[in-house]
Amino acid sequence: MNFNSVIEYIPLLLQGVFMTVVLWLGAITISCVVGTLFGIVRCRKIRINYVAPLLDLITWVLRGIPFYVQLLIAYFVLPNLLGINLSPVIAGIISLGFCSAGYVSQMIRGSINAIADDQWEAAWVLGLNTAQSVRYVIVPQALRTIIPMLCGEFDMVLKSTSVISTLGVLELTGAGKNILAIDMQVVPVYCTVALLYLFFSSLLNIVFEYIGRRLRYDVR
Amino acid sequence: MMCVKNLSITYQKKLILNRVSFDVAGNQITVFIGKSGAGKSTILRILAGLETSYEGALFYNECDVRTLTHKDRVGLIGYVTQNYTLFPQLTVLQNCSLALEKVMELSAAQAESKAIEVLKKVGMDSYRDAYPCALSGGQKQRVAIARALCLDPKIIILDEPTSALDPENVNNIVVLLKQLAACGIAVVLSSQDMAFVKMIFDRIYLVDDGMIIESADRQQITMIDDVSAIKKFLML
Repeated sequence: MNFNSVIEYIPLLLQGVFMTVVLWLGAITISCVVGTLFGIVRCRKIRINYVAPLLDLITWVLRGIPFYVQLLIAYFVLPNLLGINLSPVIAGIISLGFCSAGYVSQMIRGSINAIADDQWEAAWVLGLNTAQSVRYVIVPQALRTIIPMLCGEFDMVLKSTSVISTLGVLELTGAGKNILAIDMQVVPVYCTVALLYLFFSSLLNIVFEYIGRRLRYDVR
Repeated sequence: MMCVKNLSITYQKKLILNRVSFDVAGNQITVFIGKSGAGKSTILRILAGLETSYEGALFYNECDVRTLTHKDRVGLIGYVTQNYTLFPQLTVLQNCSLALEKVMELSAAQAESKAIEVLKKVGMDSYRDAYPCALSGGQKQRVAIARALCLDPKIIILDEPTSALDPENVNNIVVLLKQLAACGIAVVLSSQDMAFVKMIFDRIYLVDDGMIIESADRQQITMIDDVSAIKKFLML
């Protein structure tokens, strides 16, 4: 096993790491915003007529189609249907973001639904409207259960960015494949790529573990 | 002060309350007693505005309570649920100041100062930075009462306020509620704890099968004979 080729191509790997982080941040931003909105509107206590069933349908579609197929649809089908050409990076971010939003929506809906009805009632009898109840009472409590699930989901999104390399995006896996094409050192290249994913995944878990501990009001 | 006329409510085609009428006076403690499922909590939930699909009328000093805005209504009637339902992610002080800040639109400093003042009244100001999980049942109950009192309600409603309290805390709640009534606040509660009820009531209503079947004032109860069911329930 010779790691010299990997050392030689560190700039290329760093470029891949940078692109992976860009894809990941873009996707989780969409996932958080869309998933939170969908989750709140679809929860039992809010369910807005006509809107919630429509969002149920969209969530069902997003969760039912594999991410790779959604990526191909975003890159090849949407330009045909809408007449807009998306770059591979934008298509990757949008498809990964929306695919993840389907799952995040379910997590948020489930966690909000798990909050006891009397918490909603207590907020209401204090005069808080629905938006204030959600903002100041319900979501802060739901976060305790949402955070560990979000950690798993965002970890999954991080690793799913590798699929976007199939569109020619030079993210971490793509960079590894490029180095391999030049150097043919399969073991050191893929081991390095795998270790880099493991490093970022562990970092993410540590951050979420810290956030989760900060939210544990029962042990303060 | 508050006049309730012909209150009826149906759940899943079952009549839960059947033309219930009663009055609530200021400076008084009004107690609803009765078997589980008789309809006591439903009466309180309607007064608190948590049930809206009822028939009948609620008047406060000739004003139809249904016409009040949400903000005006919570300023009129405070409600303390059976399980206190403090917000676990907020400290005692934050629990009390939240509505003052977000609903009554006081500044954070004004809301905190008002909340501390009310917490002092119920003897909980030294726990202002504690989270609800660190409090005993009696302390939680006091904070829940303080949270409701922060909005200066004219009527405070408590559903089974002593259901999880030891005798010492029950006595503390009796003293506190009597103080509130003496300050002019109408106290309305339901309870299954007859020792507590005997200590506290000024006016009592016996609810059975969705109807008020007997009512009496404290002064009347030992003198008149047509409240035998209440006497039996109270084991007098």
